[in-house]
Amino acid sequence: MRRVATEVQIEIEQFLIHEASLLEENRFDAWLDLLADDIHYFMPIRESVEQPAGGAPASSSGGFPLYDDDKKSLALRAARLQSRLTPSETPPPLVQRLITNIAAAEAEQGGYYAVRSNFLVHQERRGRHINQFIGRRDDLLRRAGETFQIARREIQLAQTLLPGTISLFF
Amino acid sequence: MPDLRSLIDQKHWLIGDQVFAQDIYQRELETVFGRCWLFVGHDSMVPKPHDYFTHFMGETGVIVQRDGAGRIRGYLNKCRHRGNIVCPYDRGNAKNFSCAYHGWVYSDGKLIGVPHSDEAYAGGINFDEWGLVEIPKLQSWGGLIFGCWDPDAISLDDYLGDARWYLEHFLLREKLGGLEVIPGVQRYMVPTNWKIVSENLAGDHYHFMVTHGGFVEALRKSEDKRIALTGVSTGGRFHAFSVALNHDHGVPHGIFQLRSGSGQLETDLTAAEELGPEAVAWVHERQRVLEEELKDFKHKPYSFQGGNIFPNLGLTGVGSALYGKAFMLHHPRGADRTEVWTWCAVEKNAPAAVKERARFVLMQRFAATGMVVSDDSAIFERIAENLNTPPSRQWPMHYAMAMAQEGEDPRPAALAGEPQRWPGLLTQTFQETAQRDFYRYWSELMNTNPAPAN
Repeated sequence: MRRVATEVQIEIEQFLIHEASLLEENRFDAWLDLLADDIHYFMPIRESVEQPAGGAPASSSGGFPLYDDDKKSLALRAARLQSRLTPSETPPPLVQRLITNIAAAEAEQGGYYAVRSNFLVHQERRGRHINQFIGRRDDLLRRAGETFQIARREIQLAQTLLPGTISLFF
Repeated sequence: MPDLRSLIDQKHWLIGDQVFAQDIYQRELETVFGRCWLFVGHDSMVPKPHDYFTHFMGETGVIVQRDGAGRIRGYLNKCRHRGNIVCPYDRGNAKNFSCAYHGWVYSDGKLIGVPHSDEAYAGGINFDEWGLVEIPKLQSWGGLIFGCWDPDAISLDDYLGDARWYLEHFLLREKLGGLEVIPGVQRYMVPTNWKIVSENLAGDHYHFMVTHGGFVEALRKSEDKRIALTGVSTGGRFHAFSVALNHDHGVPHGIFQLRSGSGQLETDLTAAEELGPEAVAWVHERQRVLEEELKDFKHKPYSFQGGNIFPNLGLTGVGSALYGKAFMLHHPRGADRTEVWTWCAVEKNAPAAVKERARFVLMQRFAATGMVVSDDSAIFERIAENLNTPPSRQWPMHYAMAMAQEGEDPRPAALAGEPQRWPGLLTQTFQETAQRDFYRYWSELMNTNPAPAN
């Protein structure tokens, strides 16, 4: 895969930063607009399993993932997050997102980009419960005029035991 | 340890915060987790000889493995020499476990290798005496594997008691081919006492519409009917009950949302139609087998949604043919920490589309990312904040719901034509009989001595 031109790299970085701020501000409808209608949004569990020496930590073979969603189910999750009747979101937790190590390449298919990024998401509930989620994302972005749409996102946490339940998007 | 009789007022059913306190916790590990039969997995997690997974019984790390002869056995995950973990992986297949500290090697539980043994143990070391410690009782029942440290414990059959009928007909469904557990377990922490979670699963349907109000509202508004179409039955054509199993005479398991009537079947058929004729046929076949099994009962439940097998195995997703079955194990990790392990099982012979839907629905609701568990967890952590803070702990909590109705037949007139023959004490949906039984039995166990080493 070919690395993208610097101006495209900047466009992609700006897109991911914009996306993160929408999620920080709980602007879920605007966030859903960034997703392609046929998005596959996937997050496997991580496990400690035996590997050939020097091998990368294994991801699960699929099985029972944390997310295996399409746009409809993501919209349902977003609707729950926006309800005032949701204890985990009332009062709204404080969330800050760091998005780093953004590497973009041209995908085989024209107009698509394969983008890897790392994230740290910090969430605090009521001054008492602090959970941090750290990992990386492999995105397939599709050019959509001046901006992009996320056609596929695979999220790998660097955590086998989660510090808490997850009611966040990554 | 505080006097439990003063903490649990069994006349008025008031319970003091101290049952969740640190000084109780250590004893709990010895008595409750040292004496009870504990869920350690499912047969389908170790299909081949030497397949294994590592696990916990209370806070105690164990290995469950199918041995070379095909028998499922369990061991302490602890080298006999200096206590190091002998298997650091979650699951896999291994003929031997070799300790990474000094290299002692075990196979099917036996010690088979000690590096430099002639030199290091000039007087010799008896390999037969220094194998891995084996869990004295380990048994698979309908594919569910339970282990117990107490060599004098009652049999697993007696331990499950009334639960067997419900597990057999509505969860395990062996005549249809039984369950298979999807490989991999989800693990997350909840900062609360394990009993807060377990008593909820034993029978707290009361919280559902409040705690999960946002989820229910989102389901109503959503275009995505895949998830709504498994949980909510059509009004009027079903009745739901809670059941206190082994009430007053044994180990207190509880189930909630025992559903009778045609409502849930109709919902399942509607959902199956979208998946095609194979799925519809599966729902019919499932029902045919159930009716055959329960032919001696004039009125038959269709399913139950979930429950708790004492002490800490939560079940959910059992209610619908299109819903994955969750085993949720609530490992104690200190008085105010619980580590939840969730597996998803599906009915082995179900069509692929049904399995896929079942897995999807369970994930949406009960994975670590699930919309239901996130709200439960938020509540449980807030309860824990409030426990054992003097002076607030002087005022006990209220466990007295539906005491007056206990023992009355909760079935509507249409179902009450024949004697109640479903095992356990049937109660109305909003009840706390199962929770009272939970703490009654728990306090009895706490007054016993820890199980002796065998």
